[in-house]
Parts: sequence; structure tokens; C-alpha cells
Amino acid sequence: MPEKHYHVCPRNCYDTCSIISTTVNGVLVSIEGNPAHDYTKGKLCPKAMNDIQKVYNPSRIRYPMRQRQRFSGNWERMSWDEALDMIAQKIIDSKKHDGNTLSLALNKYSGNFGALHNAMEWLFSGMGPTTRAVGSPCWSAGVDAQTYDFGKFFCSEPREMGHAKLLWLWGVNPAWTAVHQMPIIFDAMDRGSKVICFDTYLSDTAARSHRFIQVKPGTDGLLALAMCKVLCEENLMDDKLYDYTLGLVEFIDYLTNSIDLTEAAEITGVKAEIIRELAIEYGQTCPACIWVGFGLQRYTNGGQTLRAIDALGALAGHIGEKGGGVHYGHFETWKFAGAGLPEQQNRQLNINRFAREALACDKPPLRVLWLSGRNPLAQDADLKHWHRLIQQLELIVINDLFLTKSAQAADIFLPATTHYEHWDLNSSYWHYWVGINEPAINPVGEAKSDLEIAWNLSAKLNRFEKGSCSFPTSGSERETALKQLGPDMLRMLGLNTPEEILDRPIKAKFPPTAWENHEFVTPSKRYEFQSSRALAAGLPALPVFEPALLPSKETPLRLLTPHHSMMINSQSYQDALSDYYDLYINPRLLENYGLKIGETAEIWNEYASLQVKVKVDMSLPEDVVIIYQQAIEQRAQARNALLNSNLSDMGDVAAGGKGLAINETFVSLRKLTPSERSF
Amino acid sequence: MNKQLGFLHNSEKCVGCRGCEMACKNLYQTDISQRWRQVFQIDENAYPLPSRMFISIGCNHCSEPQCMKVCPVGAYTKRDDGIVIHDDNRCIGCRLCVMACPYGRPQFNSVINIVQKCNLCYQRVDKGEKPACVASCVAGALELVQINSSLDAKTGVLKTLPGLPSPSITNPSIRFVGPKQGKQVRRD
Repeated sequence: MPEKHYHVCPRNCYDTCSIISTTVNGVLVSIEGNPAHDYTKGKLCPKAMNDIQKVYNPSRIRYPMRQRQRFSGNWERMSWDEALDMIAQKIIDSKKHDGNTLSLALNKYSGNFGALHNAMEWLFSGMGPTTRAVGSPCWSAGVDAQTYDFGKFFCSEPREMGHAKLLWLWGVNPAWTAVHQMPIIFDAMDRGSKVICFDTYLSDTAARSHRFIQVKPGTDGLLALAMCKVLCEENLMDDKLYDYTLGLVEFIDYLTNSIDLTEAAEITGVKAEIIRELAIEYGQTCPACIWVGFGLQRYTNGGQTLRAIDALGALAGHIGEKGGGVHYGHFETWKFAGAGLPEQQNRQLNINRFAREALACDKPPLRVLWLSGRNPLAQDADLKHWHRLIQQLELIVINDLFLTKSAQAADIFLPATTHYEHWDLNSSYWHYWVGINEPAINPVGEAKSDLEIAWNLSAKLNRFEKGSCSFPTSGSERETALKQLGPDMLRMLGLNTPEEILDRPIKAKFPPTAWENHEFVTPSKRYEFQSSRALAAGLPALPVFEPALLPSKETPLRLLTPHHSMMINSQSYQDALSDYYDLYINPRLLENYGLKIGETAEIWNEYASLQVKVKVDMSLPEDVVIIYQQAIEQRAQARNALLNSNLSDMGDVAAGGKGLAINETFVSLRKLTPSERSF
Repeated sequence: MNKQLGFLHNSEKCVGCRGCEMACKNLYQTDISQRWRQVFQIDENAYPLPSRMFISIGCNHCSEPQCMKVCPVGAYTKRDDGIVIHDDNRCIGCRLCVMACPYGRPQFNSVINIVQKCNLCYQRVDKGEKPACVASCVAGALELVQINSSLDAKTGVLKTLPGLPSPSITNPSIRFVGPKQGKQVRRD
């Protein structure tokens, strides 16, 4: 008889879909969306719909393995017992050698965002103070910016956007990255709402908007400030601003003295009359909503950009307005109970400069690295530092589904379960739903969940040396998942007992409009144009324009690497992988470099060079080139070799560390002679 | 035949996410080589401005199915509701239909050495459910409709789009709502 089970898609994605699987005789046969979810409404995206292929994929690793020589590809199967023995022994030895546990490092992020995937962190916390990757490669600058402005990082329920009469999609491409938002946007358009998309290139979302405004990369903050200035000049500011904001006079002074529309038009690439027209429309239309994506804050001025856009929303009185506001994301439904372990004095390394900072560590140096939900060799900047770090490390453990690019560097590979094989609890950083994830099938091969691996290793450690890990040595996955719903979460979800979430996903009981009564949680309890916390963090108190990095003569092209609809970072859902990347360029650039469509060319900078196939995008400006995030064959050079770890301006206060200014990667382009081409 | 089921595809709403493609693969767990339904980008040169517009095409369950005409073993039948069914058990894998279809919809599966194609989820349709591709479309861009003169009389309903073969060959049971272009303020 077919059986049904509930799941939540655990990918690092806005939509965090509610899934129902069908199994027959313990085999997963199909999945569908759960219609009881008012955001994902029973629909899934193509990435999730490839899940069964992923679960039973022949290349999925089913047993623990060891690699005698790193990067050799000579893997040998081993038992769990042997694998955990080796790891536990190394941990105990390192601890004995150094007298502490700081040489043990965990680098974990978003391969699976389920709450029980924090088990790896719990395990490390159980061992003592360790070295950790902190912060996020993604949204840090924006999270801090909104924390300075509103007091915390929060936004309205995403369906509220449908009430907007004017909707600005700013540096966001939901058609590819949050597809369930598209029907909400389309329905609003059908009811007569106007949609304007701001971006650096014509995205699929921009192509479906009423109007596309192309902004020079890294100048969105100035565009927002110029529009703020127009609101002042045209007297389109909310007249109650003095009641609920702080620093308005200072901000207006800054706009008056430091922002010039002609100059802003020059820098942003948007004509002054268009800036004026846009600002007036935004100031005069209620409700008007802005949705800011993550891409425009991946610059060295990214936090300021978000503060400037928040300020524009505030100045026009759209903050707290039903159907208005500045949407970015939230973290309110992620208050999981954890494992109740003591906070350790960890050595914290910024995840974006992990290798660089790890190499600088001594007393003790890093000896053991555990990678979980991460693929730094295909994603991170500073690859040269990574390779030096790998040489220094005495043991590298990775738990994953597939032999990823990073797994090639590992000594031990531990096979992980998918979300069809374990219990978990998942929240979204966009909508307000929280859902339980049940196992539908037994683990494939000998795969184990992160939680089980953590229990087993803790058991080993305690067998080798009693008291060496305070994390439990066994338990129930289901109970651990339910326990994540502590009193705060239960109240938020309107539940009496955690078990109620087993029946269906639950939506948190927040008022749908963020900052509805202008009850901000900043130190002043007001919206802060002028933030003392920003000042204390060494930043300007006001949102200001600070130029992003510009291309140099040697590397005149800005390389953007936006998300692809079939991909989340290095997690691929394509059946067949390519050996190379496609580089999209402006047709005139093609002419200037004497290239033909489909020809192999080289892009390079001081960090690496990469051969690519050239394709044309008519919407791209001549100083911007694009490689969409796509997975390629392992043997090929990954594009992250070109990245340097420039950091964004904000991220330390609420996001755990500054973000990666990935959009400030510059390259040069070169035609290759036939003998130089590798493909 | 007075009934003809078919598809209405709205290129204004289709975001090219390939959810329909993958919903089909999810339900039938087809071989890697098979894309019974497929999303294509519409030729950008057909429009005055750069566009990012897509069409999603499965079997068009044509009024005059060329696949059925050329099949030497009678593997194809057309039901009263217009659905063109391919019978995998009769197929000998000769691939004449693959060559005959102007839309490239019957596809040779080299693992089992026969041709396969979209049968419009007729088992679901018979139960009153939508085909998997239609049910999965997040943006509501794909509909199952009756192809008839009243549909064709509606404003904005098109019989073909740039880049597609002439509908006169097979009289396909697909209609389109064509893409609309917004205003673009570009840096060029």
C-alpha cells in the first residue's frame, strides 16, 4: 500500500516548500507539494522534483570511506566503527597534545538548513571550546543593516506583497530563486499593480516586469539616496516621521549637502529625470512595497545600500504600511531550543575567510577539520589559502551525499542521509511556516543522519576517554526534533504541545505586516536614520554612499555569478554536467575581442584563469560579464578560483560576521589560439 | 471528432523554471535522456528588446498526428478526447515517429530500445485530475483546455510563436498567450 509522509525542503532557499512523499513497499516513488501550505500551495520547484533521482542516484555514497592520499581518488570502503575510531582517536590525541580542543575545527553551513543539522555544532560544543566558521557567505550585510534601522531583522508575510499598488523588485530574481512569489506578483499585476525591477542585468523577473531599470553594480545605495533627496525636494515625506524616527534632520542635512542628482545619475547609470520620476511615483503611491534581494549587498558597501533603501522606504512612510515595507528576510521562526549545552569560548573564524584566518591560528594550529553541509573548494574565495590549509591539516572529515569537489581533499567521507531518511524540523527565512520532516524510507546504504553521527562519535569519545564529550551518546531522532520546539516556538506557533506539528506544517502567529504600529526595537524604539549602534561598530551613523570597488585597467570586467534556476550554490540538479562554464557578454564586447559565439575564451585575474565558452546577452552592459551558478564536472576548474575574500561592510552585529563581497570580482578576457583551447 | 484536449501556454506567466519538465520526470521517473515535456527559450531576435520568454512543450496531441501516420506497427492511437497514446508494448523502436514529429516529442529511449512520449497523463485525466505538468505549474502558465473555435476566437490566443514549426503540418492541440514586453531603461 502506498504510504504518505511529510517533508520540508531543506535547501537554502526562500520557499522552504512543504512536501508530501509517496512510498510503496519502503521505496520512494514520487513527491508532490503539500496543498495545506498557503505559500507553496502544493507546488514544488524543479530542484525538489529531482529528489528521487538524488536519493537513489548511483553516484551517491552509501558507505563510510577513507582516502589514503588526498586528491588521489583512491577511496576504500570502511566500517562506521573504523571511521569513528579513527576520528575519535585523532580528537583525543590532538587534545592531549595541545592541552585543549581548539585545534578541532567545524566548518558548517547551509547544505541542509534543518534544525537537527545543528547536531554537528552540538557535538563540537560537547567537546569543549573549538574553532568554528561563523557568519554567512550570503546575507550578512543586509541583516546588520536592517538590525541598525529597525532594531531587528524582520519582514512582512510574503503574501502581503500582493496588496502593493507599486512593487519594486530590487536586485531580486524570484522567477529563478523564489518561484512561489511569482503567482503573488502576477496576481497583483492582474489587479493593476505596477511592478518595477531594478537589477544589473535583465533577469527573468525583470523581463516580466512593467519596467526594468538597469543600475550600475554597487551603486544601488546611491540611487536610493538620490530618490530620498527627491522625496525631500518634492515634499513627499511622511509627515509623522518626527513621531517615530530618529535622526531625520541629520539625514536630510546629509542628503542636502552630499547628494547631487546629476552626479548620482552619472554614477548609477540611471538618468536624473528617471530618478525623479521613480521617486515621485514611490512617494505618491500607497501601498508601495520594496523587495530587496541578496545580490545587491554582496559588495563592500552592501550594508550601506540596504540602509539607504530602508531609509527611502521610511522617508516615504511605507514602513509598517499594509502591503508596503522593505522586505529582505527574517530569522524569527528559527528560535530552536538547541541541545542545552554550555556556550563555549570558541575560536571564531569568519566563514568567508576561513582558510586565511585558520592559517594564522597557532597555539594550537588547526589539526582537524570537519566539513558539513559545505563545499568550500567549489564555493569559497581564497582557494590558494585553502590548499595551504589542507596541507597543514592532520585530518579532514566530510559528511555529505556525494563526492563533492571538497570531498576530494578529505581523508574520511561519512555518508549522510537525505530529508527522506531522517527526522528534522525546518523554518523559512521568508515565509512564516515551520514544518516537521519525517523519514519516509530507511537510510540508503549505511548513510546516517548528522544527529546519529554526532551521538555515535560522542559515544566513541566517551569510551576512549570518559567525559570527553558532553553531547548525548544516543537518543530518539523524533524526540530531539520535537524538543526543538521550546516554549518560545510553541507560543509563536500557537501550539500546546510539540506533537501537534506532526499533523501538519504550522504558520507562526505574527501580525502579517512588519512594524505595523511603528514599534521598532532599536535602542531608541524608533526607526533609526541615525544609528548609535552603527557608530559604535565603527560605521557612519547615517546611511551614506560609499563607492564599491571598481574594475581596474588590468581587469576591466566585473564578473557576476547570479543563482541559476536549476541550482543552489554547488548543489546541482542537472542530469548531465558540463565540462565548462558559459560566459555571457555584451555583443559589442564579442566584437571588441574578436570572439565568436560559442568560442572558447579565457578569463583571468591575479588569482586564477578559467577557460569558458562565450555566449551573448544583449542586455548586459560592456563592463559586466556573467557566469550563472552552475555545477560543472569535478575535473574542471571551478569558477570560485577567481574569487578573493573581499568582505562586505556590515555583518558583525547580528549575522555573526561580515559577508562576502562576491560581486566585486574582476576579470580580464582574452581570445585563445586553437592550440591553447582545452575544449 | 468533436472533442480535442490540448494545452494553453501563457508565455507572460511562464518563468522558465522547468517545474513542468521535472514534474513529469518525478511522476514517471523517466530515464535521463527523456524529456517528454521540455521548456525552450523563445528566439530573442523575434522581439524588439532583449527578452527572457519561454514555451513549454509536451506532446501536442495533434489533430493530424504524423507519428501515428508513419508508425508501421500501430503503436499510436488517438482517443475520442483527442489524446494521442503511444503504446510502449507495441513499439519496435524503429524511430520513424521521431523523424516525423516536427516538435521532436516522441523520444528514443536507448536503455529499453523503444520510443516514449507524453500520453497527457491520461490515467489522471480519466480520474478528473490535471496532468502532472499542469498541476505543478507554480505560476499558473500551463492549462489543460478544449481546443475549439471559441478558444481560438479569444483575444490574444495564438496558434504559434516565433521559432515553432508551421501548425499546418500537424494541426497541434496547443495554443499560446504571447509574451508582452515591459519598458526597459538600460545602460546602452
